[in-house]
Amino acid sequence: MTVDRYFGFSVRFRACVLVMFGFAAVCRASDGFVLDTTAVYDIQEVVVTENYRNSETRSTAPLQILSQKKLATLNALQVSDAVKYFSGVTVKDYGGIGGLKTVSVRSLGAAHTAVSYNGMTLSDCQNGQIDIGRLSLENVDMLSLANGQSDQIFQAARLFASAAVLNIRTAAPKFEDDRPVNGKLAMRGGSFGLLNPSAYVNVRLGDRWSVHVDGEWLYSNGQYPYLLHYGSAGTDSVSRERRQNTDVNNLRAEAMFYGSFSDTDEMQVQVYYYGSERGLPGATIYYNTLNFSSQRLWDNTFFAQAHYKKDWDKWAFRVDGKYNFGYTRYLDPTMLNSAGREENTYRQQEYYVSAGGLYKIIPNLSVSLNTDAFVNTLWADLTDFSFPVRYSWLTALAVKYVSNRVLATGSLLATLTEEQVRIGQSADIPFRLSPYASVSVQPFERVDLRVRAFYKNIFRLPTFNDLYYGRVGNPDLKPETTNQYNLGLTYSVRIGSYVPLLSFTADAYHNDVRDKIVAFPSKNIYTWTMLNYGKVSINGLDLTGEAAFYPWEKIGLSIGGTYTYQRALNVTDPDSREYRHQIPYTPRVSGSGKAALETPWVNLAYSVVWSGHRYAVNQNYTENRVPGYSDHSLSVSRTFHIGRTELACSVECLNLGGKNYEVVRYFPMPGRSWRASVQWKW
Amino acid sequence: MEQKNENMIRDFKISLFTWCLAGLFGLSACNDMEDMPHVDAPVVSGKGQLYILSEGLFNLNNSTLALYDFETQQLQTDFFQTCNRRGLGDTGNDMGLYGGKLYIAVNVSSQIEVLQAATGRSLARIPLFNEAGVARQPRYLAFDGGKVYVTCYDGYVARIDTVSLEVDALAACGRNPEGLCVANGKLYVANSGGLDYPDYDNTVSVIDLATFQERKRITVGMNPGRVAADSRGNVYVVSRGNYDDIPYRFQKIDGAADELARSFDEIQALDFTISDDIAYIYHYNHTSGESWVKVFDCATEQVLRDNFITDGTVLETPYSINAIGSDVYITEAYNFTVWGDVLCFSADGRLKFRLNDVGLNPNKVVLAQLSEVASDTAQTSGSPYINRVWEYMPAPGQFVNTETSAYETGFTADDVLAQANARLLQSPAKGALLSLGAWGGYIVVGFDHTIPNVPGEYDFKVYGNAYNGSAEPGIVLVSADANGNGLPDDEWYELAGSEYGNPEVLADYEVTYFRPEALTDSVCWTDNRGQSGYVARVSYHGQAYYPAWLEADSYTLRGRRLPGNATNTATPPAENWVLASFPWGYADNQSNASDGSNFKIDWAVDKDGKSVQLAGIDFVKIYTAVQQNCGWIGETSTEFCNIEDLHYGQD
Repeated sequence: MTVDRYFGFSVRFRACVLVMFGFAAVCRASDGFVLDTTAVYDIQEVVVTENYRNSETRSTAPLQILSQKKLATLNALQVSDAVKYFSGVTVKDYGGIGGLKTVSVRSLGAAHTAVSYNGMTLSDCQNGQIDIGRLSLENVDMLSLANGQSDQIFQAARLFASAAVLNIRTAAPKFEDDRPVNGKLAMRGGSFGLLNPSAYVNVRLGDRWSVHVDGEWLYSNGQYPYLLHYGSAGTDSVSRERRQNTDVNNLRAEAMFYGSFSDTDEMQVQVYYYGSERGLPGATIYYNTLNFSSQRLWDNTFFAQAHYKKDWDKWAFRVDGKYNFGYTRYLDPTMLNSAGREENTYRQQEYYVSAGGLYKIIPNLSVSLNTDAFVNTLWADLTDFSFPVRYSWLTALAVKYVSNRVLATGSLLATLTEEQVRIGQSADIPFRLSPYASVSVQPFERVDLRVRAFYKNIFRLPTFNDLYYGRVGNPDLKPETTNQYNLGLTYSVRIGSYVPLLSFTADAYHNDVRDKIVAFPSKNIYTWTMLNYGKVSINGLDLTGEAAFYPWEKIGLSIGGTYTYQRALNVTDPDSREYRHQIPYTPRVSGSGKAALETPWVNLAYSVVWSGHRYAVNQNYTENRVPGYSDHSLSVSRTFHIGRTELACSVECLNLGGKNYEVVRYFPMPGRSWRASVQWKW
Repeated sequence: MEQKNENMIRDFKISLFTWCLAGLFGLSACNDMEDMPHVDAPVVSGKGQLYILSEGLFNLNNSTLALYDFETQQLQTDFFQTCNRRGLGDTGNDMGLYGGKLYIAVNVSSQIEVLQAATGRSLARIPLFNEAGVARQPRYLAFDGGKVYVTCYDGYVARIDTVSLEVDALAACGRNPEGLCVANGKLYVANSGGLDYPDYDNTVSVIDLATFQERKRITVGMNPGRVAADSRGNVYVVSRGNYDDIPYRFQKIDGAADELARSFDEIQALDFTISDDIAYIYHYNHTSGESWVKVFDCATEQVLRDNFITDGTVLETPYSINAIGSDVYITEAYNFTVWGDVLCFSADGRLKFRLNDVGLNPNKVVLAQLSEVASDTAQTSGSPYINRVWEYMPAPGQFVNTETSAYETGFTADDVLAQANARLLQSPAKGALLSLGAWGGYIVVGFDHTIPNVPGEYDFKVYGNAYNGSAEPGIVLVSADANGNGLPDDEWYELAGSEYGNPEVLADYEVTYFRPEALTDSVCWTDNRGQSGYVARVSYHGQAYYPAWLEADSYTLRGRRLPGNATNTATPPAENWVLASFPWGYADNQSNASDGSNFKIDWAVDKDGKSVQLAGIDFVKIYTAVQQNCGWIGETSTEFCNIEDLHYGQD
């Protein structure tokens, strides 16, 4: 039996096990699963933290939420680790803590997912995709993924402007017992030289203001061993290697000021800094594993953002602003040019303002207008660099109807973009209008079963790299356009106090991508170019399920699972030999599962992500096949109360199977590894 | 009523839940994707073997070597992988056939892979790294005088000896050298400076082959790439400009003066090939997607035809051009992410055949006429090498009944012996070899002179294809023409190698091999110790293993059997066979470059194991010394290439 066959079998087997084990949620009974129908009338659209699953099942477009508590059971260190548990996503993971990690939702491509941090979009005009491996989960209060867009219509226009939004919200300070200061100290360590101390402190500054200051440092040498296979047959040669040039050294520091002037008047100001140095380990090249990777990357990101909101009886108003500075330095010390090295520096800046108003026409119907203006610049020390500047103006008009059993939203987004370059031709991007509509209906009053549907037409702009990077760039590129159609069903029920939650969502969808921007390598490896070439047709099904059981007092079991089926076919050219082949790095089937057992003694958490096989290149040939995988993790944790403070300890074992599976071909993942952490809250 | 309603609702809830569960089960049963089939294998007539190197894509370790055998009309897209159980590596840039061996420059892996063309087996993998361990990144290959020249992107040309298969010298040239060719006793190397964009190089280095030193740099157009010479020693070069306002150009260097003679500004060229003084030049405009192939006469410096292709065949993305004889092979890469094709055109521009779906980004085509290689015999008088194969009787094995056992369909035993002579009587650089099959298979060879025994010194070297971890030892016997009749009918003396006294050696051993009922069944054997066994079959050699030219249904071989030397170092079912070398004294046991393949006539012993002093020897007999099957690589069989008199030419 070949390894391949063995593996295929085991993935399928695990899928069955996963489904048997069911469905469901890591959700405590104390989260109080009570249908809170009044909340949806609330014009402020505050998401009640205890009611995430409720939000998920009544959302008109698929919305998946991981609360801080659920995140704690996922054995996740970085945002990317947690995002893998959402249905319908493909995280492209280059392995290790330092490896690039991007998220593609429903096969649309990473550049179609916006990542927002406390309500404001993180942007990278150069690459168009955010490395979600750089975002720490240390202080994340909630992580959510919205397909299409969320049902909130009172938000920045930019959050209407992508095919999916990954939203990260950090924890706001909480004060108990009238103590004006509290905080946390934590230390995490683990395999491959992982060292990750972190701390935060919350301080109340008078009646109106409070501040949260947060910092962490992360180091890992990342030198994990792996087996390099010189062919896909089980009898092919194998060598034992160790990953090289994988060190990561990150520092994150944040401060967030919360101002609450009255019940209707609030403000937040945040500053964020992230600095990192890392090796870029590169692919594991046959016969050249030691020497191939020596490139280094330095990153510095700084942003400051402010948010102000005021509510009146029928009106609400908000204004946001942000300044972002990104610095990247890349060094290849073994380049075979005259200098013997290549070194490039890039600087990105963004100036951003957004303002919006919401008006409640009747209690059930509200309308909003949000408008964003921003400027992006890119500076690089490259020869003949064009120094592009992009001016964007986005305006979204949205409407929302809410009743007990019906929720409907619609929006129209207008995008106007102007570009300037110092050298060469600038892109001429036409004005566009992008519609969105969604609805959710509960047909039977006493059954919490809802039918939902959405349609969205949106595009992503070519990135600065697509347009202007050396000879690769092509300023004639058009935006890459997507259409999404979704039809879904959600159901949730409570069966007495023993089973406080059972819920289920199923969504079938069709997406298409037109004018897909693809790179064509040409005669020599230094001359590539970008073209609007591809068309992709995607049909898929996303399922999620959650359940919580409380068989005995103080013993709770919560389980959850997701399953994704997607046919993402290249339909560019009927005469080509890749016509109707599944696009690269997109599994047909994938999923995740999690289970958490809470006892008075210890808490146990198990989680798994699995994927069927994928193809590394366009054709679905055996030669391009990347085997499927499953990655299981287990953790044990316990919290001790010492006086007014709390000490929590946990030990995690990651990738229990120990196999160096690959998400991206020739970028092996670490085998079995360990992490332990201690945190002290005071 | 109210109660009933509640029940109905509960029932509904439960049934809905069950239904959803069932739905999930159904889905989990959904099969994962099936791999898509390749385009059907073509059937094409022709002669010889066509080797196609496909570059693959960067960082995917997916360079492949495909083999199309015109005789069997079979296309094997993963020939190298099948024969060696490992991939070529990342970005195979260039390939050439020289002396029966294929040399492949693998750029990102920074290796030169050397394989026996006939068998596909790797003979050596030559790493190219500088002192600091940085990859030199080999690009293109040229061959001359028993040496292989490789441009390395770090500004050197490496010279590889075809016997030792090691880099024996490096010569500095310009920045980021690309193409190279041999003409006028010199090497012409295009210095692109491609990694110094936009500050490209614009020179061609002239390296003297005798001294292997750079002699001159000729200024040509910007960013030179491919070079090739015509029969009069003129060298042509493509300068690729800056891919922007400075265009591609086809240029000519005067080989006598070593100066740029002419720039054909009207001919934009990406790549070209020369055969019989006709250059076939192609260009591909990446922006417009247009391409053309021109025919250029090197003698008259005239474009003969603006469009080489005359039958309307359309090329989407031509990726390389190779003229072989009067045929022109053009590879088609499509969009660089799907497998491409090889198109063969006759000189008049008509499509002769097309091999579809050969590999990802095919970039080099080599046609081998292995029987031609064998008949190209250099029967020179006065040679340090063997001058005759007297007997050749392989034991059954995976190479028996192939050209590696000097066999072609219908051959008799006499034909096989004649073919064995034709195959081996050539300079060792040509490297053709014969397989001796399983234990006991032997060959007897002679010389045109007596090899003297110089006491204490190595007297002769036996060439095989052993390398570290792949030793297939053969016992060596020698004989002097004591009766002076010129025939190998005298007493044989074994050269006692390191295992001679090993207690596990089976002396006076005999094995009888039996022709199987079905020719493609395993060949069974019995020995004179009451044991029996079989010669294992391997998946990639499907022919009969029992010598087809033998009329008898069984035959017996005699000698001494050494203990096995193979170990599987992988954990089954994985296999990684290491065939360890014995310390000394066996053929095909240590690399040709090492002293371990040298022999002293001093080691000769008689039948009783007594040392014998011979003044010299006239004949050598070699037979496979072990009887073992090694999983997927099959039986261990000594391969014999040649013998060299190490005292030849000395007084």
